[in-house]
Amino acid sequence: MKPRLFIIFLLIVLMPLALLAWMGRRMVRDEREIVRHQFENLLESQLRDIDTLIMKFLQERERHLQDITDRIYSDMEKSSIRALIRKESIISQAFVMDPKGRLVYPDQTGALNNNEKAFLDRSRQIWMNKELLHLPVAEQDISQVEEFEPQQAISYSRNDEQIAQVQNKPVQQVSIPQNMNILISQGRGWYLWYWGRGIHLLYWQKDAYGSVIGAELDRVRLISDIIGELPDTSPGKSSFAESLITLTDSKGSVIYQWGAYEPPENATPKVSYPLSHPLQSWKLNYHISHGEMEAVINRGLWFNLFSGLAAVGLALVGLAFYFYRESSREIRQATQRVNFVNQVSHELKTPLTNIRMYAELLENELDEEQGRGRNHLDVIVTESQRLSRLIANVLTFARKKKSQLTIRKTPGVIDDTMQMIIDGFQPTLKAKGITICFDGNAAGSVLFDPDILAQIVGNLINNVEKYATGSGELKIATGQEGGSTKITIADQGPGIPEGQQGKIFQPFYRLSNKLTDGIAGTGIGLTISRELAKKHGGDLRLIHADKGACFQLVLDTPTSENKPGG
Amino acid sequence: MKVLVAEDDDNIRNGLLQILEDEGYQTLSAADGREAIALFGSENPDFICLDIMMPGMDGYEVCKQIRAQNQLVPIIFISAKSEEIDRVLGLEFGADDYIVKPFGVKEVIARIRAVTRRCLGQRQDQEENISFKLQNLEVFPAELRANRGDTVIDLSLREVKILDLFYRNKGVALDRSVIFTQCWGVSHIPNSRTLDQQISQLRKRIEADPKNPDIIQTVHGVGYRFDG
Repeated sequence: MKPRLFIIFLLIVLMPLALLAWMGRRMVRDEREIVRHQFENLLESQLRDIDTLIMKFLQERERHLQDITDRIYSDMEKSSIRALIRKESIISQAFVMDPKGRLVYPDQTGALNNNEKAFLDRSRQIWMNKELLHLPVAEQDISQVEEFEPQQAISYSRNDEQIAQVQNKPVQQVSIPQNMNILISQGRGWYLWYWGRGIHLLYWQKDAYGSVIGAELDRVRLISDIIGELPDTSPGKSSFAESLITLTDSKGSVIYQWGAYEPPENATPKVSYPLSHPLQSWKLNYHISHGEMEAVINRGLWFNLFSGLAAVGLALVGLAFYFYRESSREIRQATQRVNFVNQVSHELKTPLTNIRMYAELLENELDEEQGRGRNHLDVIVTESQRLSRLIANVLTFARKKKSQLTIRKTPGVIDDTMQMIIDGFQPTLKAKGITICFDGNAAGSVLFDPDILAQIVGNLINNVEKYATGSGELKIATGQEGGSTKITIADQGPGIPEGQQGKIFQPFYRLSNKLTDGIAGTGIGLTISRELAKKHGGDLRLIHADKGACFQLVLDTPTSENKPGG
Repeated sequence: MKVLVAEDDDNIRNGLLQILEDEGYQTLSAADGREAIALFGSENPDFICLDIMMPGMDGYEVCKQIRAQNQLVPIIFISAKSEEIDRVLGLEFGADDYIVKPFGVKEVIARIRAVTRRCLGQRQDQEENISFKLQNLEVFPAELRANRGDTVIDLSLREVKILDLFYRNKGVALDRSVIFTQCWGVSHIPNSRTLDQQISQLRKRIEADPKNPDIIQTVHGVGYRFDG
């Protein structure tokens, strides 16, 4: 492959690939951002799932606490409450507050155990500010009971989402002993405060009268139970090998973590998610190694890009190779055609050269008295000249297909060339009963291609010789005007029928009638003559004549002084 | 003058050699490019006729190598390759003329004479004799032509030699063998018909009345004479 073609081949393949690669890179960059966001959303959703898990646990715990507070409400004896506290390990302490905000239990005025003292110590602010009094109360149709009557039998449905409805009639929904106090929940929830090492959590319920009963969750037990709900720390349990999820408290201390990854110190988590109420000061943090993250984000992206580019590149290479092969094949075929034409030209012209040359040499050696011998040689010479014209026509026609015809204008005299051509035809035409009458009026020196002129005029006179045998006079006239030369060739033969006049310049078209059938010919003479005339800046036309055929040849023949540029 | 003809086709080569010998040249022949190069080196011809499509080394290469040694020796390409590019290429390689096959003998003679005039013109600077007269015929050897009044007559090299021989031997009846030796070369003795034909053709062109010649008179049994 020639260097230039190779460079073009590379450009055809590489430039689109480079463009695609640039566009692909941008696309990959955007895709990475999308994937990165999606990945972060995925991590966040995983943390959200964990939060849901914890909240579910807290809901379960809330139901248990609700049960505990109900029992405290039903028996508010100090000893009973203490016993209940000891029994229920999920709570560290309980409390009862009257509507006026006085702490009924633990009773600060009475004897307190260590647990109660510690509780009071850490919850002092609550009681001082009476915050629990101001907790929201449900806007339900409350009981018609005006005073706190714990002995009254009330029915209510234990529904986490609903406040109990008070009905002034007995119900069968719950079997409640008559001596048990039932809390009419008018509000409940969590209360969070900070003390010591971290948060403390209170569960409370408020009744219609404004009393609040609750319990403090055992912190250690709470954390332990929450951790129990979380995935264990063994490797393989997390979604990603190089990841770590931590549960941190309000101070950022890690309460719990799981995953095999060890992030660098002070590393920022990829995603953080605060737990829902009441643990909103705690956070779930997702740490993931940069490599793992990039691997996930890039997974498939670059492969897709490169595989896409590879596919396009292969297609382009295939296409370029196909076009190169087709082009090479065409060039090869064209070269073969040119070589064939040249080879045929050489093969035909060599014997023709010998025929003509030896005929002329023999002619020179014959005496004038050897008239018959000279005549025979005249025939050989004339026929070899005709064969030369035929070969020239065929080769011109072959080259015409590939636009190889070229015009070479040199200074000369049109009439001199015409005389030479006419002299060449004289013997043949005389033998066919045709006399040439030449009226030359183109004696000026002009620029023209003598070979082209000889070929055109030769074809025209050849046709006269073939089709106008015995017709008498063949008038040939030349004239010059401006920068063009006009040559008229008019015979007295049978002429060309009107219906066929438009077709005679078509390739391979030959007149067909009783007179002309059987006359040898190729049908390309006039085609080539007109083509050559046009190449020479002129034209060849059949013009009207009363008798016979009259052809007018016009050629562009600037004077030698006005040589066209280029 | 010595002419080298390089042509691989035997018939064309022999035909060209005959044309050149009839014109009065000494000829050398080569059947391929390498032989042409060798003969050019050993014989130093005055001009060269080269075919292009030859086996081994083509005419373009032969021309190139000859031009590398001698810029002045005239070279004529004779080839079947008739395209403009072929002609341009030939001339670019250094040829002085380009004849396309099939050619007419007259065309070849005309072009060879044109080249010969150029060669002789170059030599004329060193010689004193520019023209000579045979009665009313003035002969210009270097230009291969003669003038009779306003009429210009083209002459071959041999015809110039014949006229020059008669001019230098005014009044002498020249024997056929002498004419052969001087004008055809010592080694080449054509038959007498050749001489008679040559004289006959020459008379047709230089004599006012070829049937009653004034310049070249027949001396029966001997040869010919120019009386002056």
